[in-house]
Amino acid sequence: MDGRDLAQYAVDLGPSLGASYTEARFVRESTEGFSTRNGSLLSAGKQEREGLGVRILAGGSFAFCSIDELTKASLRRSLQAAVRRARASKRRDPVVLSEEEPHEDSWAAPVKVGFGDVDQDAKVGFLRGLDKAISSLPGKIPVRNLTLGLLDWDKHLVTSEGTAIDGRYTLFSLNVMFQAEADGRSEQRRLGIGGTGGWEWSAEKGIEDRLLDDASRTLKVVSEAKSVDLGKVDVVIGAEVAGIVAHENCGHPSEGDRILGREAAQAGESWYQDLVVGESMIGSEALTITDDPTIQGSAGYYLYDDEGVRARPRYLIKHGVLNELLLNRQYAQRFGTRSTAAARAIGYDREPVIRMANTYIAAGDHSEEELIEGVKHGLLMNSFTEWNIDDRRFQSKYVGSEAILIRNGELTDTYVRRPVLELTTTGLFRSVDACARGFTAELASCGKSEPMQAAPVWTAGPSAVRLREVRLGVGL
Amino acid sequence: MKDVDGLITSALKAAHEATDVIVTCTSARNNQIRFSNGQIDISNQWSFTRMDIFVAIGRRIGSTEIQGPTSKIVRGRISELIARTKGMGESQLYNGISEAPSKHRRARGLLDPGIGSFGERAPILVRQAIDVAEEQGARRVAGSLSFGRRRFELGTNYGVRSGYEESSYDLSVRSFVDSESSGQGLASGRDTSKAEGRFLEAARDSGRIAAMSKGGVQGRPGRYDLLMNPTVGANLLGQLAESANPLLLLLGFSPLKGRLGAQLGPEGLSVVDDPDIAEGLGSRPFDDEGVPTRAVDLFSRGKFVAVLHNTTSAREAGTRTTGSSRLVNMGGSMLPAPWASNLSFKAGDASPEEMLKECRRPTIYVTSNWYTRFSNYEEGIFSTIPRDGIFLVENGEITKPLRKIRISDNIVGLLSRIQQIGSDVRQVHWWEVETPTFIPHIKFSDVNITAATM
Repeated sequence: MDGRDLAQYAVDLGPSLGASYTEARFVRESTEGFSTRNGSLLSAGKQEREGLGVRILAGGSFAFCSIDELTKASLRRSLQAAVRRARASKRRDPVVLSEEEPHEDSWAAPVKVGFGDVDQDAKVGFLRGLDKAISSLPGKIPVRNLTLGLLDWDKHLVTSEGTAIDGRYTLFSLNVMFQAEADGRSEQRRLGIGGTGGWEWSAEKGIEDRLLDDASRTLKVVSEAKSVDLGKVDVVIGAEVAGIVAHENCGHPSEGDRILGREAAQAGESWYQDLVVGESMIGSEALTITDDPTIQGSAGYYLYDDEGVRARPRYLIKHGVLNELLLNRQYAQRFGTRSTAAARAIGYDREPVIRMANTYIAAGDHSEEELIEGVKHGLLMNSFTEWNIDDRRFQSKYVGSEAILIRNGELTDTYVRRPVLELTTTGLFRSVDACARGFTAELASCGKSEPMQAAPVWTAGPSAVRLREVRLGVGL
Repeated sequence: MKDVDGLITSALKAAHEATDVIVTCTSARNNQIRFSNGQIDISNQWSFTRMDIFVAIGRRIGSTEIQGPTSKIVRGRISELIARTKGMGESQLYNGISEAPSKHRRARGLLDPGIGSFGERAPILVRQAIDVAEEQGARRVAGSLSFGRRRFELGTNYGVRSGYEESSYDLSVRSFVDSESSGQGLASGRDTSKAEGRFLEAARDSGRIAAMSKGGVQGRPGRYDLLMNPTVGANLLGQLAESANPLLLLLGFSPLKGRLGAQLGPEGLSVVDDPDIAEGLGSRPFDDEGVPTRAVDLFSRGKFVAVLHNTTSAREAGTRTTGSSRLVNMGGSMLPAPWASNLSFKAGDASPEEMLKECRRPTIYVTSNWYTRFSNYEEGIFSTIPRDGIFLVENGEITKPLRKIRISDNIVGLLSRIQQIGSDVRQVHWWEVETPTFIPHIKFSDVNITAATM
């Protein structure tokens, strides 16, 4: 049976089996992948799958089932079992969903050149061309791993409340890891480049120039950087570091399911448990952080979430104040508000959970040069290597990759080896005194939930963000 | 259940032009109950049949995954795969698969038929676990219980046709006394008759550790002796042992590069990749090329002695496969590569209680961790964040709970600072430990601890 018809059948069948709410998602997923190591092909393939995932509410509890045998009989058996499991859950506090307007609509990430319209030679040739360019740089880069992923997901969502949304998501994804070496030392660098669209990404986005620039900088770091104990100084972070800070220190703690404990056993909770939305001042006035799924071409692009709620930008922190949260319908109801359209299901066989899309520190009015000019003694940290954050999202660590000493408002020739920005979230947010103009994004894969759902996102920021008087550690 | 044998036959027939063919077919029904705040959040069930297919035509390689296969779909997809592979350039990194059909030992303890009725007991067991954790002082309890049954079948164009059925369960439970005082318990295995007792023990552990964590204070940076429980050891030392893998070495993701044959730890440190542990969730009688699996010593008496191999990596190294081949997903594509099964650390003599008592210098005892990341894999420089119970041990006794610290050190360097290995080997498999790891408590000297205090 056609998967779309079967999704509708699930929604029609749900009430007769005892479900008070039914949401069915039929997804066709195609992922073409190629990887090279130093220009040699390591793997090549194409994964195609389709299936139906159904989430129901019965007796105040959720159950989810997924099938890839797309028959009415298979679906009926799975739904009957799902209703039984939901009822056996016997929650004290029944799940209630926020009231949201049902939509019938369709959306698609704009594509100029479909992945299927390009032959595989061009795709492998693209990777080999990039590898050749990096390897031709003066300097030693003995390890070069490139992975190209071309995703095409076709989703059909229907709910028992009358929502029917067709969504088409296509993602160009290039992940690069290389190792630069000099004088017996090495630096490893990992980069994610890509977003929604088609094969046009390979030609239009200056990827080779970006990789060559990055590799050249890394060669300089490995040959010149030295350990310097800077203590408490001003630090200007570049877009790459600003992006990961926005994602880790703000995006994750803003997830309503974390705040109320649903992710406690895996991805953890949130220090926002102690805060009041709309009141708590957690950063400086210069800090505004947004998560926006509606940015065309972005990795986290969608116009309706996986509960059928229309997407919009979420202004998580406005001028230092906690402004709003990432919510799905269940947690919107718990917070007494409306969904902010943050439900994403990565695959037909996953329940939708609260996720980020594209999270960024909003641009200011300054140029990057102006921010540096305002630093008497400090550091410009353009990129990072090791990072982590505790599961309440309060204590983060970012180890600098390209980091350059600033003296009297000017960049010096001194590269600092792996400076450590190990700060609490409030320590970091309150230290922000100015943001530069611009918007630069990195492709990242955000992990959450169990089973793990790796969501494509952008982490982004302006060209520079200045932090005043923060303590820097010395890397190992 | 689908006619898996027929599907594999169709696939091998359709791929007759290829010189090497691996077809695996997994048919599964997996279940999960997720819970938090003492209540069930969702009950999941996934039913699927998936074929993974790798082909080579000489050194031209290709792969595909087929979800919900039928004979017609299989024939069509493989026809497309062969055409794509013919048009692919050669891979200099591919050296073939095993060409020798082998007899396989009987799978030992992989399937407990009792898994069929486990679903009915599962919500009751979850509620029991919550109750037990609360009796220990937990105010909120969260976790997940995953269980399932799967049938795995393998065929290659060199005459291998073999399969097995298996069952598994994993419970992860985390208790909270307040938002910053928590504890974790884990239980994994295959034999469901042992599940209830293990679940109650895991729940008791999580509640007890959470209660002990109440009132924790900010830890102070510095160098301390460190006692890791099996959960932390599995994440850190397991990850290191797992990187005794030619693929990870080739890609720059192994801290063991250039160290084969080196004495990295004390005499008591021995680690085996063991695919034949009855309750081991990574156990299997043959690898994805059909080669019988066997135990491989990775570390012996502190020395790094061997890496895992499949046919391709073994031929590159001029040696023989260790029966460790697995179709590894690279994101849209797959390749047969060496991969660990169950990592098994040899037990020492001391009980965890004795290890605590013998702490003379200030020692930090960590009971769980997450978010391990490396500055540079080959150098081994990493940090990780302890979570749940963290305790300061002074003069052989736990004196206070700590919070908000980070272990920032060198993973290879840690091996040389192992002081003591415990006797309490247990299996760890959860969100932060993908490869099932059997490991006891381990104590280290002089470990670097940092903290975000600003």
